[in-house]
Amino acid sequence: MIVFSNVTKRYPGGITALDSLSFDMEEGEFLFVTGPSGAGKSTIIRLLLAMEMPTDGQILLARRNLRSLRESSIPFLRRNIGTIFQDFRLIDSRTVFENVAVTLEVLGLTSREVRTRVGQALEMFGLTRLARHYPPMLSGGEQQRVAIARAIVNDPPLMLADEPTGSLDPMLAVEVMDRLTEMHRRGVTVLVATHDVALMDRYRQRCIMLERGCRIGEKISGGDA
Amino acid sequence: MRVVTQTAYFVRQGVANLSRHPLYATVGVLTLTVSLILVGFLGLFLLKANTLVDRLAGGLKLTVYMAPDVTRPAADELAKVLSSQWPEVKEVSYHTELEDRERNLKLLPAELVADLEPELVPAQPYLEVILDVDRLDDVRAEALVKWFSSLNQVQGVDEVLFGSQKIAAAFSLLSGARTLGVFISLVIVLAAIFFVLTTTRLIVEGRRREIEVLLLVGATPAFIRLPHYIEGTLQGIAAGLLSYAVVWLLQRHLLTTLRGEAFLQVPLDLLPHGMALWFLAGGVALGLVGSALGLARHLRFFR
Repeated sequence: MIVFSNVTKRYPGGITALDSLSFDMEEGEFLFVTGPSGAGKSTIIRLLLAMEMPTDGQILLARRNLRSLRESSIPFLRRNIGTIFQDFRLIDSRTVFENVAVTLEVLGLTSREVRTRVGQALEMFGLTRLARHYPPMLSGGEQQRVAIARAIVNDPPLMLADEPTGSLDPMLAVEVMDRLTEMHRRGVTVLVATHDVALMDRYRQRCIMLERGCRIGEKISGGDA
Repeated sequence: MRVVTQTAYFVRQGVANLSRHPLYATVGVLTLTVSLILVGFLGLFLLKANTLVDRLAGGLKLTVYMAPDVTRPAADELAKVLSSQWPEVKEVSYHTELEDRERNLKLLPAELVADLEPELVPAQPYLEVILDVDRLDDVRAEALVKWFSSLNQVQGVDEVLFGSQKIAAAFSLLSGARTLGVFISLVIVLAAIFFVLTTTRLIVEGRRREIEVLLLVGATPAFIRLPHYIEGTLQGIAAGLLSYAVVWLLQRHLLTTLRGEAFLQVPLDLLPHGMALWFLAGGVALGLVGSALGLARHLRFFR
């Protein structure tokens, strides 16, 4: 599903976010990418979303080389990726319903289809009663659930999560991780970038460890998942 | 089917954007309105200045008085020379002694005419030369005045009457008004565009987050642009109508005040309602340009 082959990402000013990083990920796999701040976790997510291009090396996503991707193809790539961010990235001026619906609206679905599928997603995450609320009116946990609902409403084959529990209390963090694990069980490929080792250890999954943009190890996180 | 769905979506979003961001919508409409009012008043000023100059210049004519014994063919020959040598001469007409007398009689007070033998009123045949103000500039006007002055020496011509000062003043005014008009137009139009662009950029900057999220979930630039264009168009229509109403009302107030001034001989007509279409078109154009330029920098996939 994902192949990183000697990927280097340098920013202007000489900062190296990733240094010849290589790893791969099978379809339907769950992968943790961990490391301290500045290790390059978020850069991997940004590269996979084609928000940035690598300075060197190759990235294959579903057998497509992202370096040779035309700009006009990027929206279509992103439609197959559900993304969750630490800061939720919700649109404050739109209701919970509208925030989730936007993923389907870009696909050109009819209003009826959008209503049905958003309704199901909101129900799945216990958000139905909050459908008409605006994000600033919600708690952090509720906002993250909206962000996850938005990420999965179009059934993407790949889910990327960048510090999805970073701004949540421990109970909500577990709830969010349980949701991601549940999606993995349904066949979705899930890549989670996190520095929360304690949380990661609750789940038995493959884990790549980074430091200063380099891969320093790989393990199976312990846990009872 | 998908086109219909998408179009309906864009229109819904365009309208919804206005209610989602009432402050931005209000600021946008006001910005466009102020810009259109500025441009509208400029247009009004130029329209009225043109009318004033036309009126002044429309009275520009020369009278070439012929000697009493001149023959009609000789007068016609001189008329032909005047028309052929000066493209600025629009029309030359010959008037008989009788016509001149009638004209002079009309100029006299009625009580004086009642007791006057018509034969006692001086009269002589003349050529009336009407100038084409659109072809004249101040340089050509000066040359024309000189040339016509020299006609006094031509046989058969008794006297050339024209207000040389009036001609010079009219064309100096016309030339000045045109230069000033172009300068003011440029300044006001540039100021309006700058005003609209700056405000639109600030508004779009406030919605950067929304655009970022839309790009992340796979929206194409067109998907983001179209509702903004519809929003810009709606704001432009509102601003067009509002600015037309303001300009019309202010003009009416101004003209009502000026009508009391007897010395003002400018035709005091109100803006025709058809002008509202120009305001609408201007509003829509400004709204669209503002939306397009404001969005452009935020629709990049890479950073």
